[in-house]
Amino acid sequence: MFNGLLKKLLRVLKRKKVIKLGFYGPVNAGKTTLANRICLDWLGTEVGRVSEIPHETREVQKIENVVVRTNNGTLRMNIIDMPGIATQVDYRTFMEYGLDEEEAKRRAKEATRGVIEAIKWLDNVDAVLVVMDSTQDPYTQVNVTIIGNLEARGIPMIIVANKIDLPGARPERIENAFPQHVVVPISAKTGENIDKLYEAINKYLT
Amino acid sequence: MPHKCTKCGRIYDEGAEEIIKRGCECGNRFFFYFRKVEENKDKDFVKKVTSRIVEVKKAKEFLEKELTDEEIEKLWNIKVEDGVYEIDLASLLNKEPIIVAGDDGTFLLSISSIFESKLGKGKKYYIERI
Repeated sequence: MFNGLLKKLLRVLKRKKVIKLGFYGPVNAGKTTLANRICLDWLGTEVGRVSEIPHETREVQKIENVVVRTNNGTLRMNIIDMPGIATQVDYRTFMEYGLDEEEAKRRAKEATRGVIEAIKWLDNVDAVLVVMDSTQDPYTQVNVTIIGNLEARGIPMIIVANKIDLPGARPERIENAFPQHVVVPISAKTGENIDKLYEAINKYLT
Repeated sequence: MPHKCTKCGRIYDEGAEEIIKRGCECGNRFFFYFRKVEENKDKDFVKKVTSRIVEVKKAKEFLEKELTDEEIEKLWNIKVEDGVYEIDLASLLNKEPIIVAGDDGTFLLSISSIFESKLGKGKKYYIERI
């Protein structure tokens, strides 16, 4: 019985710490699609709603104890999917997607609150995946501000160049824009290169 | 808006040719945009205001007693105009207190953010309810 307890204790001590991994990035970069992909791969279920309307995720979403097995070992993480970061939230954008004015204004308010929540959560994450859209110009105020602030706080990060399945994708632009950071091109939608992301998280963020 | 180097904090005018050609003097090539008022924001001035207010809904009158319109304009980091929200990301990321400027001249202050901010950390404030 004593041996059994000792073995259990050793197993617990050997176990890697669970990392709190925050998903940050501009609106519609595919943060929730990536969270869903990881959860589908390892928990067998999706967790967040995805749509083409900006600011679909307006509340912080936590997915606890996701265990990922890679060639270099086991990775345990709590995923925190954040609302998209923006410098302006305009209700008229939502009306272009068919929402009425009242609903659009409510969404704009919630989206702004989501930006504040996401920023507050920076105090509670161990590491960050900055998710960017490979089809978009990476030199935006949102991207540069997030990365500059993460650097200043000393929070380790990986940049995920998402949407490489789309025809206009140019992940090399992101690599050229942020050469000091690890950039992993993936498609969260199709799962392309997702293994490389797991390896990179295991290597650089644990 | 002027540009501020993310590494050394040096400030350049909007569209400065030197940063387009060679980046910052320190070798960095990344810059924040920031509102010009930001650099002049007087911490004591913000402290004076935030330390006196716990719940402000129609605060313009109160603020105007002591502050000019120009000074009030410096306060916000979220501005609402007819359902459009302007967000000053840099100041929020720098943990400045959340101050929302409404389009009807009102200001909303998030008290928890004041106490969590660099400004409020470890300090006791005299709080006046208006």
